[in-house]
Order: sequence, then C-alpha cells, then structure tokens
Amino acid sequence: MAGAYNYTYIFKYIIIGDMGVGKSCLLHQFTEQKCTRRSLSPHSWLIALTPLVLSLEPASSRHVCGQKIKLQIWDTAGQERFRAVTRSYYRGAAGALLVYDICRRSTYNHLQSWLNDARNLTNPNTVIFLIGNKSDLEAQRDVTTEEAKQFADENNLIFLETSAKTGANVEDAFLETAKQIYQNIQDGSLDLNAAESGVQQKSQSGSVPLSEKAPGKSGCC
Amino acid sequence: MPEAETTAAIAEEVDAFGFTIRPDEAAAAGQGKGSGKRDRRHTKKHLQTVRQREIKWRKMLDLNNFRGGQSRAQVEGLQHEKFRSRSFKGIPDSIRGEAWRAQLVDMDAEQYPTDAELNDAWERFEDLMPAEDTPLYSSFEVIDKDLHRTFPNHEYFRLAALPEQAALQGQAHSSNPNAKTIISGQVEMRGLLRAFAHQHPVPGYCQGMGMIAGLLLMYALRNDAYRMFCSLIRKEKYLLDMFAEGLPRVQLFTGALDWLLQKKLPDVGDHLMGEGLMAVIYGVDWFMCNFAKTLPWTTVLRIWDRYLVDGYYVSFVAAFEIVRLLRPQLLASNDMQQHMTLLRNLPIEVTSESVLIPAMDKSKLRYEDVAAALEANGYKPMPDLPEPRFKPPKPAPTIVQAASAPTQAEPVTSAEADAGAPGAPVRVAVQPTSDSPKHVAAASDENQGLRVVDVDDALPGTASALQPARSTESIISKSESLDLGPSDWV
Repeated sequence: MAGAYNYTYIFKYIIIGDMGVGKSCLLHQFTEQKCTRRSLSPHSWLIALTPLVLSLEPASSRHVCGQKIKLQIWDTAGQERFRAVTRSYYRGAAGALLVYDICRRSTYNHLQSWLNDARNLTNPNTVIFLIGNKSDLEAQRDVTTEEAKQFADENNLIFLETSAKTGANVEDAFLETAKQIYQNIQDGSLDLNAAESGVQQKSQSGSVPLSEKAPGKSGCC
Repeated sequence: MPEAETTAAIAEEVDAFGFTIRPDEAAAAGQGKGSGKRDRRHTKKHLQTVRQREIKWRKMLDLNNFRGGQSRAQVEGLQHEKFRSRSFKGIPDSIRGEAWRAQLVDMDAEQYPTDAELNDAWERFEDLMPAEDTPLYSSFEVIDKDLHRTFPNHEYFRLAALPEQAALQGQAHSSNPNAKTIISGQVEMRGLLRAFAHQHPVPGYCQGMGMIAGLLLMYALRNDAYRMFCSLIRKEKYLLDMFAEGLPRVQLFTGALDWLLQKKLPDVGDHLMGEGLMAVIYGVDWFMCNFAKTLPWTTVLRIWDRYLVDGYYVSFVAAFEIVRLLRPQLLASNDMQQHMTLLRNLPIEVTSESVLIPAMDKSKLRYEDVAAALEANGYKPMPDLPEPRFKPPKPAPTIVQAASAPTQAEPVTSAEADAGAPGAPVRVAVQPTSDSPKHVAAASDENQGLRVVDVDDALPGTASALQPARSTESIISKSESLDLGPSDWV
C-alpha cells in the first residue's frame, strides 16, 4: 500500500463522446505510455458498459504544478441508448474529456448534446476539455481544426487534437485538464468541501484503506 | 521486444474454460478467473460427484435416447422441481449446453428458424451490406467494433494469435473472408449478432449483447446459440426490454436493487445512497449481462445455471449478496470514490464460487422481496415477444455458375443437423442460390479493409493491423504484475 497516500488530490474525470471515437483508446494510451508497470488488465479491453474506473497513482512525470495528483477516470459506453444510464456518471466529475473523431463529422455534430449533458449534470467549475481524436488520420479528416477551435472558444472549452494511436497530445490533454482543475482550486473557484467538486484532498480521504486483504502493492507507477 | 513477449504469451496456459491464465493468476493459485476452483476440481471425490451428476442429467434430459435433447415443454413436464434443484447444485459442464438449451428453446412451440434455414443464411448475413445511415448499418458497425473486445481473454474469441494459427483457422473456414484476421469464435459471434439485429430491428444490436452471445457460443453450436440468444432477449423472465432504447430494464432493475438494499440492508443501502452511489452507477452490467462480464467464470456459470431456471430473480440475489459481502469494507469509509473502485473491481474474496454461491443459497432475500422492489419501482409485467418469422436477407445476385456452395456453409455436425429436422426439406431446395465464390471473394476484400481500420483504431499500440492479436497478447502477458486486486486501485 506504499503508494496509496502518495498524492495530494484525487480528481475524478469522465470521458464522453460518441461510440468509436476512441475514448477507451485515449485512456489506454495515457495509462500505458508513462506507467512503468502495466496498469491495465485485459479487462480494459472489454466494452465500457459501466464505467471502467481506473485510479492512477501520480507518476513523477505527472506532477501538476508541483502537486501529486491521482486521477480516477471513468470511461463510459458511447452507444446512444446508454445515454440515459451514463447521465448518472457525471455527478462529481472535476474534469470531463469530450471526445470526437476528426474523421467522422457526425461525432462532431453530436458534441453539442454531449456538452449539454456535461454542463447540466456537473458543477459549473468542471473543466471540460474538447478532444479531436485520430489526428494521425489527416488524409481522412472531416472536421477542420479551425472550426473545432471556434466551437471550443464559443463554449469556453480547452481544445486539443490528439492521436490515441501515436500518442500525440494525449498526455497533454489529461494533464492540462488537471492543471486547470488545480488552478480552480487555487483561485478558490472550486469549493473542495462541496460533494460535487469531484476533488478529494488526501487529508479528507484519510480513512482505512479498503483493500487491506490484498497483497501489498504500490500503484501502477 | 514485444515480439519475444508475445510468443511467450501465446504459449500461455488456458484454464478449463478456455480463458487465458495470466501468469500472476497461475502464481497465486486459486486466485484467478476460472482457475479458482482448480484444486477442488481435481480431487477424486469431486470428480466422482460430477460423474454421478452427469449420469443423472443425461437421464433426466434423455440424452441417451434422443440426441438433440429435450424441448422446454418436455422439461417442464418432467419434474420441474428436480430440474431446478439440480440446476441449483450446478450443471456438469459437459451437460450444460444441452440443459440450457432445453430450457430456452422449444422448437415445437415457437417459430425458431430450423438448422437448414440457418445454415443457408449464415453466409448471407456475413455478406450483407446494409445501406449507410440505416439502423441496421449502425448495428453492424457497432458489432464489428465490439467483436475484439468481447472475451478477448478467451481462446475461442481472441484474435488469431500467429500467422500459422490464422492459416489453420483459415483452412477450417476457407470460405470465410475474414479467416485471416478473425478466428472462428469471432466469426460466429458476428454472424449471430448480425442475424439477430437483422431479424429483430427492435432492439437491434446493443452493446453488452456480445457477452451473452459469447457465453452461449461457448456452450452451443451457432444455430442453437442463435435460438437460445433470441429466446433470452425476447423473454420477460430473462432479458426482455433490457437492451431496448433507453435501457428501461436496466434502470428498473438497478432502481429496484437500491430499494432492496435500503429495505433489507439499511446500513449499507443508506450509506451508499447517502453518497449518491446508486446501483445504476456500479451495477449496469450486473443485470445487463447477468454478471458474465463481472465475475470469475466458475461463478458466472453457477449463476447462469440458476438464472435459466428462475430468471432475473437470481441476478437480484447475486447482486444483493455481493453488496452484503462487501458490507464491512463499504461501511469502513465514507469515500465514494473508493467505494466505486471497489464495486467496479470486485475482490475475489467475495466473488469466488465458493463464497458467493453459498451466500446466495443462504440469502435472506426472498423472491417476494424482489417482486415488491420491482413493484415499488413501477414494474409492469410484459408479455414475451413472439419470435418473428425468420426472414433471411435475399441472396446476393449470383454470377453465372451456382457453384459448390454447400461446403462453404458453416460446418455442421450431423448431430446438429439431425436435431433440427422439422421444416428442413423446404429450405434445402434453396441452397444452390448461394453466392458464387467470385462474389464471396469480392466481399471479403472489402470486409477485410473494414476490419483493419477497426482493429488498428482500437488497439492504439499496434503498429501493424496485421498483428492485432499480438498487442492484445502482450497486454495480457505484461499485466502479470497486477492482479486486479483493489490495492492497485486505491
């Protein structure tokens, strides 16, 4: 359990977007890239019917503004009919990664409805990060960077194009989100005492570790 | 570097059910998926018990006389109580497929497609290219996306591991366009799901169905698995409305579980609700796949043995007991995120067959309680959907020679062919209309193109789509240092 308390904050993230935009792949890329020990089991290859909840210990390279931050990431099912169920996962998310596929305009066109969900179901300070995934497939691009940028600006989102395949910008997206959340904490706009904040401070969670039975093991990094 | 590891991974052991045994599981004997009961399984006494049960079951299902097993009607006539109590003790694995089928499919009473009809149709489903922007098209798209992430750790469903293996598989399914990239299990699952989506536009395909199809395909040939699958999804007792738009049953059942926990396990129930941790957040796949996605395999099978007898009541008992067994851990903290991590990564101390099944036997949760919970949550019983008349897609236009089609169809054992008898002759006449080899080849190229993009896109670490299995494999092999024990997740 050595690593269990080795952090200052826990942030809850939720990854949303249409089916097939690469939500799970982004998560996979992010976790595989920097972790020296594999953090994903074959379970991660199952469809994310219910949120795949993944807790990541902070790697040394992942210090955000000097803080060690643990991420709890909820991956969700993208199929339209899961929406009614997925809506219950937003509560208490500190960050939302809103993903579309730059090669499929339909996934971009659906952003507004995902964004509405995210806005309505999270607290006003939730950091929403727009991600145009599959930037390695430039030839098949169907959504220009400019229009997405404009959409992001209009809606006050942070925006990056990523490639879950090559890893381009993936880490940045996750960490930039954390940075924003941290800044919100610093400037006081995010109230840590609110249940909805999606952030926990180490001191607050100082209860008994749940997994005493499990063999001693540090986190993935 | 991945190369070496991959090769090692392919030689990996599989357990009695065909699941890859991860090295960490092998090391911690009795700790892993499927391997949990290894010790007990091999004791002489246990084997004798199983053997005796097999004999009783064979007799009960009359398997010795009638190769195809009995219809559901026959089983119901035949000492239902005995059938039930034996199912609750666990059906011997060798009998399981027949026993499940006997309960699900009544060929005499319902309009299931015959073996002949299905054999004739599989290839057409395989070749079917629905128009873009139709619901069927999107169903097919999702099916393809989900194939490689449904039981990726089972030898029957994972991608062909080595080119040589792929070639071997390819021989067995030489007609199949995707033989090189997908092995038989995935081809069968795809066919089954496509056929279902085509025959049942509502609900079509919904994520989560693949787990059920996979489970059935492990225990039945494709024709039987298809009929069993249809039966499950159409019946009130099982999964009716579970996959419909908005997932109404998922919402109803998770709501009812919340209600039950608050009534019957109030400390935990209130505790969870107080944190806003409702069952809809952690328990969707518990009900949707009836735990096939969630629990160690031996436990899954025992639950399914019961489920087919008593229906969704069994899922409620299992769900309730899981939460009850986690009670000390849940009450120990007020940390919703820890709870969520725990509930989504259930510890083996709770889920293993030797813990959960006895707990279910002794459960204080009565079926009346479940009925009350459902009623309190607005449950209205629905009639089973009738099985629609089987309408396979029209054969694609034949190019001149009608060719040696029959050999290309799904290899069917004679036992299976015998079983399906009624109605068969009518369809046999249609067979020559199957596609010519030329047409099949054309379709294959296109399909393969689709798959490559798919696989590639879903396995980000893979440089070449030609070796998708390797990356899956290496993930499996490299995850050795982590079991999913909660310690990794806290």
